[in-house]
Amino acid sequence: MSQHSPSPMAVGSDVVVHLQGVAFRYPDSDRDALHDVDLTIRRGEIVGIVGASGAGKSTLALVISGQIPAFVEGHLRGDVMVLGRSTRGRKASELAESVGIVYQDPEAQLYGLTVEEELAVGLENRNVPAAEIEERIRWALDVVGLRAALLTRSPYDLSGGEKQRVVIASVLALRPAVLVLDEPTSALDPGGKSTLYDLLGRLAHGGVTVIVVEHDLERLVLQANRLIWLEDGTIRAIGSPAEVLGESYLDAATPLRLPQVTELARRLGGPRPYPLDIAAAIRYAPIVRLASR
Amino acid sequence: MTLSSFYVPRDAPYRRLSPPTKVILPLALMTAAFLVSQPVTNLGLVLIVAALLRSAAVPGSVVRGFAQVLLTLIPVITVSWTVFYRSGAPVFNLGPIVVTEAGLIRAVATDLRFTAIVLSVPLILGTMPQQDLVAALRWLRLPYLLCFIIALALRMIPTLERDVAIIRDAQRSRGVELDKGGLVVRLRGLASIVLPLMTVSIGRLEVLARVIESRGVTRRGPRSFYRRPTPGPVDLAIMFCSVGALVVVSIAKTTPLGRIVIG
Repeated sequence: MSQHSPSPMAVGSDVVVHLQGVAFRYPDSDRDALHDVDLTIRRGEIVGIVGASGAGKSTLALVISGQIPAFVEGHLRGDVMVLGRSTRGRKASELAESVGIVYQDPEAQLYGLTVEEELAVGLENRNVPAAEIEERIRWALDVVGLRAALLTRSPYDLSGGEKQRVVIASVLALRPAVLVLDEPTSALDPGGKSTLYDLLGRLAHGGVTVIVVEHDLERLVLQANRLIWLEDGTIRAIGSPAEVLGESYLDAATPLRLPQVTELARRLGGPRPYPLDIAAAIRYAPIVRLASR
Repeated sequence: MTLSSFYVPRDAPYRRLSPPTKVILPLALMTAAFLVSQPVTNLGLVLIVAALLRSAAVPGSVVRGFAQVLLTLIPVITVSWTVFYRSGAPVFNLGPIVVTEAGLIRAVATDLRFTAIVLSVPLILGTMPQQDLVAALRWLRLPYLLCFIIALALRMIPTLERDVAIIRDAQRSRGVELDKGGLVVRLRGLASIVLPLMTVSIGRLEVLARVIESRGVTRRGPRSFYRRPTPGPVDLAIMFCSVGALVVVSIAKTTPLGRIVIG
């Protein structure tokens, strides 16, 4: 595994996000929240950004989405290119057509009086014709698996998972090439998490690049092509989930919340690579027994 | 009761009108109530409003809510006009207070005026969902940002209500007494809700501001309408007559006969 080269698991070959020598410092802070970040993400990849609290995960998501420097004050250094164009000096509304971002709390991102309005506003503001708005709304609802009957409902009356999907649908309606999600599963039950990750898988299959900031790796490792492990604002490892979670620095003090089977294998002191899911764990069990003998 | 709870879906003739019509007609009635000042003409307006409320099948509970506002307003208006209006022939004396005929007429006319105005409000809020109201305002060419701010304010109400409920429960679980004690104790209890509410709301608004900007709300240039209200011939006729009637009343008020008839 190379620290900065794209993973062989990367799907497709088009570079959609390219960061070189990126560093960022918040105002009134005496240290960089991000530093020396070099990163290339390709079309159709699902990339997980993982690490402890304060490692710089959300900051990296904001940099990739262009919210830094468009909204968040601070000092940004290095190059951030999305679809071949620098994010500097671009308006948030213009960037949203390239990169959509979904924040942690879905309720904070809803402003429409109905689901339909929520999905239509961004398109109306871009002067998209009514017929195309209708087509895009139907498409976005279909992609996120919501029923058309919900269109006339108030988004605040929906469940947490449905609200999250409405937010994603309203971002997708703008047809961005990159979707960034900042801890999207924190308010979801296990069923909601599964539904969300299935959706992200479908989106990536359709060519959307998905970047997920996540604490809980249980579901992410099954879907992600690559993990970026951040520590103190710098990239500690990039690679496939198996590569990152199999690294020797996955020591006892790891801040990552590993999948249960991976954690179990680690605690048993089994050989690497650790299993990431139940199927791998079943194959792994005899190896642990052999090793313990 | 919040704005959203005024609206109860029902099928009624008035409700089948287009949203812009359901905004223009009550607004015309409210304006007319301000223009005319004879008790008879104001009574006529109250009767028209009552007939429209019936035709709109606005629930009695909603109308009663607005009627309660009138119960507060009417005594204040009546006392103010009868006590402080000194012109005209005296009807009776209450010590130093002289109640005149003109004062009584003005009091009745103003009471009826405010009755027509206050009861016209449920004709707007109680007959269409909030999104239709905002769509009507957009159709009426109100600036887009103003319409968006109105929609946003309406949108924040349920969220704020939920936040207040959560904070109130959290503070009660910490032993904060919100319903007991004197004024100072209650104000202190109120502060224990308002301060966390502001903190939560500011954090949420920051995210919302980014989202709104990303959706291009502040973007300049042409915009398209997805669900644009399409008033039919009946709607257009009602809107035309409403505005026309206002023009006629305004002109009539400048003539001697008009001043006698409509005040």
